[in-house]
Amino acid sequence: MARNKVKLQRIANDAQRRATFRKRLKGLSKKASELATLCSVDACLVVYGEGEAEAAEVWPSAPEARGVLERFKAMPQLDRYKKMTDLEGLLRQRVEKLQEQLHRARIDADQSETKLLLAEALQALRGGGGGGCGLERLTIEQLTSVGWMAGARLRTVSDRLETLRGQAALVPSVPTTTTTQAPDHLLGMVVSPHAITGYTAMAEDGGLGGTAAPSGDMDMVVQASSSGTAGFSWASQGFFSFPSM
Amino acid sequence: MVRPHGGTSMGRQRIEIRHIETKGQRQVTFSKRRSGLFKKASELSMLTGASIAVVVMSEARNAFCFGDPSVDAILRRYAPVPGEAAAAASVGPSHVHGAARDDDDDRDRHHHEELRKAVEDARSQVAAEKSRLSEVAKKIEAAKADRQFWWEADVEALGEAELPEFTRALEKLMANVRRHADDQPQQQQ
Repeated sequence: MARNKVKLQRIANDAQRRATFRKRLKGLSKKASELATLCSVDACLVVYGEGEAEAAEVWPSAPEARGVLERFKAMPQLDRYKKMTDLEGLLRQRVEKLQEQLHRARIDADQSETKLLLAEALQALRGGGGGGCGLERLTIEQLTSVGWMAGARLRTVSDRLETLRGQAALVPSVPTTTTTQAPDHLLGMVVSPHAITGYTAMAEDGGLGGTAAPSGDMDMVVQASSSGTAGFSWASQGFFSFPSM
Repeated sequence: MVRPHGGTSMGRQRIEIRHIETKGQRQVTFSKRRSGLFKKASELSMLTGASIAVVVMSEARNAFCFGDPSVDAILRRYAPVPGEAAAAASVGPSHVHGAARDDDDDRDRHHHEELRKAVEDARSQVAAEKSRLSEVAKKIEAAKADRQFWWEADVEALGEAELPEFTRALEKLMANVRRHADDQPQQQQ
């Protein structure tokens, strides 16, 4: 029945209010009845309509309700009040829950936004987006988040690199804090026969070992499509094809 | 009905109204339905100004109850202990007690109104954040289609060649971030 969300305020129109009262009272009784049956518990409702002189509306029946209430009253005070709530309590609970939801929703939204910004910045590094590094218009909070996410990725990548190299029984000695002064052309795709050979001979040659000069090590980027890269031994490792540059 | 947008429950199911055999399911049902019952009762009260008491006894002999204005007030009116009979009679027309009672009611109503507004505000804020999330998600989808997220593929999928390049790219990026952060005037958080 989610047509329009009814605003939870006293209905001004008398007739409408009375009608709503009748309808909802019926619904409430039904829900109480279902609860009682499904869970085999005792329950009762006592409802006084708005006017002071109204008789009580009672569910299930007056005698049964009285029974439940007598049992209730016979309980020690502490037990009675332990699980007692009123309107204020309910509303407070709801606010708390919503605050939590809000907090989580904010975090999710922020995370996604950061991911997008990171992608845009990486894109800019590849020469997309007309110059600049894609970070110009970010707030300090956004910069921090992007930096953090990049750092996290870096750690994952470094770990992965370590693992791969360890698996291939290579000396895992290439420092990950490599030169940020890497020549710009290396950010593009460069094919180096030397490095390729080094890879296919992974087992024997410590191709990534400390022997090779750092800059030589870096020439390992391979262009996927046109340069006949078939037959690389690590192709089966799930070589990820790069977008053509 | 509201579209389910999260959670792992099984969704709306037609259920037969009879005793639930499985203890766990019964307890979960009890908890959820009791909560829903109280919520409905509170709505009835807020919408129509009715005074309500709901009392539910759990299997473990705990009493869960909800009342507006309070369970005690309703009990005093409906099932007064003989000694309270005289007092109960005066829980009649409010003009007997006049101003004092009405002030209390008004104060309560104001407070409830404030809380209700707080609920509304919180709810709309959540909705705003969620729509921000979906906005960004759409952009991400578009960017993915545009191959801008090549790096997002499972790190496993990246071979040894791509990783160093990615590493350099990330490091360069972080250097840029630091540069920009330093350039910016110190901002209050």
